[in-house]
Amino acid sequence: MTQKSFQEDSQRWILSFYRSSEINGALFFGRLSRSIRDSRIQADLTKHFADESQHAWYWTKCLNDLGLQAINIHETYQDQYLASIGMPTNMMEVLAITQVFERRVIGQYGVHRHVENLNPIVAQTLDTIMEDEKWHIKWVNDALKMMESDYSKELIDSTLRRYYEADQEVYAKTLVEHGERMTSLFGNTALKLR
Amino acid sequence: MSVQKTEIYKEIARLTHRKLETIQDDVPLRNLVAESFVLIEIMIELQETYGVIIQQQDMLGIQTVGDLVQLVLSKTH
Repeated sequence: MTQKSFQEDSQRWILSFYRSSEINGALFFGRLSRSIRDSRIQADLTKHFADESQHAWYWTKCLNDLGLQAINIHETYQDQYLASIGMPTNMMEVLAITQVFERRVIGQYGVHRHVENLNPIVAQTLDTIMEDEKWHIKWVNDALKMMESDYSKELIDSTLRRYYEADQEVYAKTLVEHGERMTSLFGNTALKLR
Repeated sequence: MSVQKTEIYKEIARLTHRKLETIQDDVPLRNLVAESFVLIEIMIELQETYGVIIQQQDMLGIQTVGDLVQLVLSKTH
């Protein structure tokens, strides 16, 4: 495989990975939107669900506009979180893991956005999604503050700390597993797309 | 809040789209749901329904439907 075709393959893989993560997020938040009864959280959670679905569509369209078809990726970043930290069991733990995950996503999208010679279709998709991600972090942060009366600030802070530590491990593992792809996309080499 | 054990079985049956008679105490939770996300939904739904809080540490050692039902009952008393 030539370097150019490897980069194209890596590009297709990472955009498909983003798409799969957004789909998983949408399915997860859709389920939770059915269960949650607290009206202060219900509206934002449902909007979050809608955003994740929209983002999955943006990535699908982005891939198609690049002349690529999405790869079905079943192992997503969220799965690796659950394997590392265990299953969150209440709404506070779910929102804490969401906060950590959303920060990782916006960081990753930010790195991707700064790649030299980034295809404008990818750049525009990243810009659009990152605007929504900022709001996701804000509403989840607000909701966690609101939950301090039920769960205590100490418990929420310690849960966040534990999840941030796990996030570092999961991200490091991802970099090792997909190092060659990541380097070809985000290393010093400029990204060459169609 | 007084919660009957049978109510929790019914709730689990509804959430897993299974017949009530298949929700037995000795059924492992991992056999009940195919994905972790579904189990999280069940946990949230049970807490929302019965007004209790279950933490990750409470789930240590919870392997079966019976374990989960007992945990929810213990939180409601």
